[in-house]
Amino acid sequence: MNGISIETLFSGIGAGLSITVILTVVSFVAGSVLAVPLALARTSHLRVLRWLAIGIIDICRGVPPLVWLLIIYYGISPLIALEPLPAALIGLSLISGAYLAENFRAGIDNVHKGQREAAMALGLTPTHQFWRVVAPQAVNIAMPPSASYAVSLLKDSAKASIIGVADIIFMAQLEVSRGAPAVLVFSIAAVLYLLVGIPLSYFSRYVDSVVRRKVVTV
Amino acid sequence: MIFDRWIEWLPALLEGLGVSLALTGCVALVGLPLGLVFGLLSTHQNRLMRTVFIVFIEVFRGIPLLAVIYLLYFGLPSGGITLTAFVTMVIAHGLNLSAYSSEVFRAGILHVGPGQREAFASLGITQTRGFFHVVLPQAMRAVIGPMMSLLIMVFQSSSLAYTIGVGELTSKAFSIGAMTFQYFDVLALAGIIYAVICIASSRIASNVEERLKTGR
Repeated sequence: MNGISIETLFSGIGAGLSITVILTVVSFVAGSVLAVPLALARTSHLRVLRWLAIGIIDICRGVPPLVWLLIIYYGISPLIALEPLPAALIGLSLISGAYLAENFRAGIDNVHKGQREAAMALGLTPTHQFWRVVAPQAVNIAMPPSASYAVSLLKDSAKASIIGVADIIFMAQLEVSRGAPAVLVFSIAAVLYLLVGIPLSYFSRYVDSVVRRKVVTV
Repeated sequence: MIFDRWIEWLPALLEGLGVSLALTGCVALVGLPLGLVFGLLSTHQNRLMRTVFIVFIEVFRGIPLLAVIYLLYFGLPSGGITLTAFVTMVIAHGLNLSAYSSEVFRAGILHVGPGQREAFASLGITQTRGFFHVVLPQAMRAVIGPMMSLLIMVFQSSSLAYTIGVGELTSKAFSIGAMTFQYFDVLALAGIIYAVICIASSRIASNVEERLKTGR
């Protein structure tokens, strides 16, 4: 193995770990921010807003993530020059925004109708009914599926390597092109994903168990 | 006009779509039976057996599909095994699907209550016969909805075959883009094709699921 040790491979591939984490965290946070107005529009009384939200959510989820990344990186770059990392962040944020909006929508829909009626009976304004009574409970319901979505976002972030973002997979490919054995290299990459993903999925199960104790659904 | 170009590119993209669909079908043929086996083994009475398969499933669910594709595509030739890109993709994606579908099968099997087992046991039906004639048919009904959404995800992820040059929809669109430098136009068309199929089939899937839920 001409002087390649497992330690150097680990540190070489591990150099991409921080980018993978940045991709996951930033697009999860940005996606959550995008998801709020989308979920509000999706549950609105106005039909136009509802259809608009359904259209945006369906298109974001219907086009495969890889195709989104290629459209943003190769398709839009003649207009606005984008580096791979911002392009990937935009794409993954859009996609996670759409998935999280569906989670938030399910959260809002699953708050018991009686809660809103009770708030109304107490004379709260519609705005207060939503933000003080419905929304806090909806967040609790939406939390477990959103936490488990974070795990799949971590794996989706690997697609960013295809447009040249220097994440774990990209660094692994670099090591292979330098002559390291591919099976070993990609096994190390897999181990790195598991190192982040397993704690994350335990955390999502923990969130689920906490919320289960707290929330009364329909 | 963009539509003239779309009409010009459409035949090539539809040919790619055919490969994407064939890929999805082959992956389902590998991944679903394998998933059923893994699902059964992960509910096995023997604890060691159960643990081994649960670990296998968890590991495969935790690794990005792209890592599995690259591992097989770049790794197998050094072991003296050369497969076409299409077959490599079917194996990698099939293994990936088997891990996801095993969870669905397992949930489906656990969904059939213990009363059913007790009922066929008291009728003197053997474990094996009872499993295939009583438990499995009921589990299948619970499984169909989630399985359809899994297959839609498989169709979407088949776009990853682009990275190893299987000539499916994304590859075709990208190579047209590379030739004409009209990446946006051609990729947008590919995106529309993917979206139409995914949106339509997920509508069908949720209809079917709704109908199964309310009973026949």
